[in-house]
Amino acid sequence: MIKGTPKRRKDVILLFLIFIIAFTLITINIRGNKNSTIIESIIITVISPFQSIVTKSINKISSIWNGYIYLVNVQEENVRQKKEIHELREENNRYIEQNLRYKRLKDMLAFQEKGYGKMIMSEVVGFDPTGWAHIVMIDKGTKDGVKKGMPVVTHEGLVGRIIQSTPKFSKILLITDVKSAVDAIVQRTRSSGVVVGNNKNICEMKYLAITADVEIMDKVISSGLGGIFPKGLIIGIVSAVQKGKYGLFQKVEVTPAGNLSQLEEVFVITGD
Amino acid sequence: MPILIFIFFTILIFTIQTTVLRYISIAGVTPDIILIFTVYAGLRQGKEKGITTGFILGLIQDSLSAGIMGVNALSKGLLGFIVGDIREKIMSENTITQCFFIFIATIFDGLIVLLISETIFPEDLGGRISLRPLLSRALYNSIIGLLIFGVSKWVKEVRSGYRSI
Repeated sequence: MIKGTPKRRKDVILLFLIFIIAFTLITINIRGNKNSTIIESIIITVISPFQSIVTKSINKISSIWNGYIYLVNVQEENVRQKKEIHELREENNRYIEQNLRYKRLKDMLAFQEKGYGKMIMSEVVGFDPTGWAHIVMIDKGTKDGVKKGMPVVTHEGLVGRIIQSTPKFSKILLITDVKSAVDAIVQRTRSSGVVVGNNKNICEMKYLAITADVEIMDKVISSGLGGIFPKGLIIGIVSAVQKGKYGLFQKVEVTPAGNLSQLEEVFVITGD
Repeated sequence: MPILIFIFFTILIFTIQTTVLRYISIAGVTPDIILIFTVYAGLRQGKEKGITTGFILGLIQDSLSAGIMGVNALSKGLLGFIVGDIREKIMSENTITQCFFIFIATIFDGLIVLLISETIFPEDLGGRISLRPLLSRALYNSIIGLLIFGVSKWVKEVRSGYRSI
């Protein structure tokens, strides 16, 4: 029996309820029971279409601003030719956007020819809402053949892997997140280690033997071990090497090959 | 009707948080408007609505992120409750004081997430939250909170002005 005024009792019950529900969810999550993902799927299904609309609108506005409005302001004095310039710029901007997209697709096509299997192009529509994780949301889901565990890349290199898929949207855990671990090798010397994230924009290569030959600017690629990431995907470039006097391993910083904070389009390797 | 308004605002703030706010992030620190709205709910509506709002917003935050499900729900729920409880004891309409609440609330929220994450997954170590980014985050949240609370106060004044006419 809880003592005190009815108001106080109500407060205690409310707090107790919150603790019970939260700890039940945490326990389900730790035990790896995926029942909780039903809530997650509903929330993603509701929120992601709005993310998609806003992100696409922002991209459109920024593209118009960069290619059109800004330049128009610069040459405002040329009123006589304004109309013609507007039309030409608009047309030009369209070509620039098409050209950039063509270049990205061309790079991707070349990448696809390396034999990683079928890839699905998707657009990034949202980012992590907590600030404690490095994830992004994409506009392709199970309906498009995207499944949990599939690797995600850009033509520059490895981005991460799918950790959750709803029919139309999926969540990607970036290689910079603390929960990410990719078995990797240094391309030049074949020394092996594990690339882990640290929630910054760089990764760390762990378990690299103190005797291993590794230098700044060495390329780090996926080893293919672990069964998630195919062998040979570029993870990043070694940006710092620290060898201590003691210990079995050296501390190696790896800068991801792709700019993970400004992702627009990514490719999911379905491997079919 | 209030439920529909709540749903509308929830969708709106999550859409803003996960799309637009990354454009105003400074050195990787992005303001957390979900936390600001939890504090707002606690201050304006008291501890019962504060705890419910915080819990729901935290749960959605957990669902859209990659952390442990329930951690943000717990921290934001507690936050809504505590802020609501403090409001009932020390009522303050001062925007600066309210922003101080946001500063403390950000640190509290970060420490709870850190405590639970580190207890459950100690191998993740300190990368997730360290004190310096937490302080920067608290400061940034307070500045954004100052703007949001300022605008809210102004809207309230304008509305009460219309009513008196």
